[in-house]
Amino acid sequence: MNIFASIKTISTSAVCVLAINSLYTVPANAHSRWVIPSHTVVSGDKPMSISLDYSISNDIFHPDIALGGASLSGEKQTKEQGANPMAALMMQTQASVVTPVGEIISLSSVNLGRKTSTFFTADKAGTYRVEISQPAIDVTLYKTDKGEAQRLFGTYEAVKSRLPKDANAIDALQFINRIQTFVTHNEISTKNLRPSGEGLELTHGTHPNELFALEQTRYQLMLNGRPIGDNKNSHVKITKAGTRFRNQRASLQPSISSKGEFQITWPEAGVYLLEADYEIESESGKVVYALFLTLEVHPE
Amino acid sequence: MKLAHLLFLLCLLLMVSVKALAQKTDGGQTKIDIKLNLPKLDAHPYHKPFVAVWLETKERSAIETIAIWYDDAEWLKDLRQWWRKLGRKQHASSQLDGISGATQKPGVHHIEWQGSLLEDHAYLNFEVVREEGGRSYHRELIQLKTTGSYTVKEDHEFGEIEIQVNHIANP
Repeated sequence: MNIFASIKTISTSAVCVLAINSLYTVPANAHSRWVIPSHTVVSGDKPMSISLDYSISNDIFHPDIALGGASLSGEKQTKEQGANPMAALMMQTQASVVTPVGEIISLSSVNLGRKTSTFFTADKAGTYRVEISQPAIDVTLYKTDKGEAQRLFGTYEAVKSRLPKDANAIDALQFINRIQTFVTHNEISTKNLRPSGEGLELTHGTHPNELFALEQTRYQLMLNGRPIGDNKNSHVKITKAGTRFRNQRASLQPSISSKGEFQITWPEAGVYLLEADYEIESESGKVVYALFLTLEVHPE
Repeated sequence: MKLAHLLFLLCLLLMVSVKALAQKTDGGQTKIDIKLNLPKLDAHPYHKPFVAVWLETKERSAIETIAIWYDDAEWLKDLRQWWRKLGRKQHASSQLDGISGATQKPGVHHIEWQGSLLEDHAYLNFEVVREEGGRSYHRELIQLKTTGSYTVKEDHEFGEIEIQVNHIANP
């Protein structure tokens, strides 16, 4: 499947088809989505601005498809654009930051074509958690009698009247994504590292703003605030920035214990995207929880 | 008979370990003299570097800052190792006020420290970072209870560093 060649010429909804098609076989291979902060560690007595860029792309931290945001002139997307399920999803994407004292600040953002951008001001000491949140995405997959894979946005209940008569291998999937990073002004704090209890998250053995090359960090995957129950349906993939400047992605795939624990020794300094997912069966179909966490590793 | 034997051995072992512990805490002083060379660099513009010198245990837990030379706290975080180990805490609680100094010109600078530590060994850390320049970091494992000298090879941002450790046993 030539994803790379196709993406340049097709619309966002078509991109989603490709994304879903690849998800259909291996959930861990969804298109990466990420937020990259201008700084993860700031110091001094002045408030510090932190710029945030976020996007969906295959090349880690090289933007491809913006994730919502107002136009440069400040206009929000129209309802007509919102009729497209993908555009509707983009319209509902929201950047926010949780301050060290637990205050949640919603951020207005601007769509710059390939990426969405915003910023916040770190004026308190401690660790901020940045979140790009999207509503859950329901997709119904099926095959035609010719064996062609197709998809419709919506739960099975919502789309069943629109399914062709010959539809078979029907699979209902719901995607629940978390896109996160952490930023610390002066002293670190741990309040924002504790799992919020919603979706797929991590506990951090080392503070995410104190990672150094050649040092080891332990993590545990948490689903809705509790350690995941098994490691059969979970994947973790850690990829360093700059995939477009090398021929191999060289992702690290640590083994995950039955309690969702894993560890990593950072091979070198850089910005990494930690992608984790966990799939469960629910009454209405499969639910795929995913986490996209941006981490900065300092040189020794 | 055998039990008595064992008990006797156990007592001996305990005495030995108690003695070892006592040696560690005998209150002797360690004096560290450092000659830190900041090289003249052909850089335009040249900014005097930020410098941090500090002690960590062998397990890399922070002990204390020996020297911190800087001007604007906004860039303290660029002393990355020191910032995570000691800087961010000490800055927050204004503990740097007594020990910090201004940035220094190229040349050999003398830094002295004297104190009493429980450990036999410690890491002496050096971190130097320059605006529009590079960063050099080194940690040297030193013996605290034995007199000795150490030499750190020059790196980009620092020249050769000479370390003289003197242990002054409790009289």
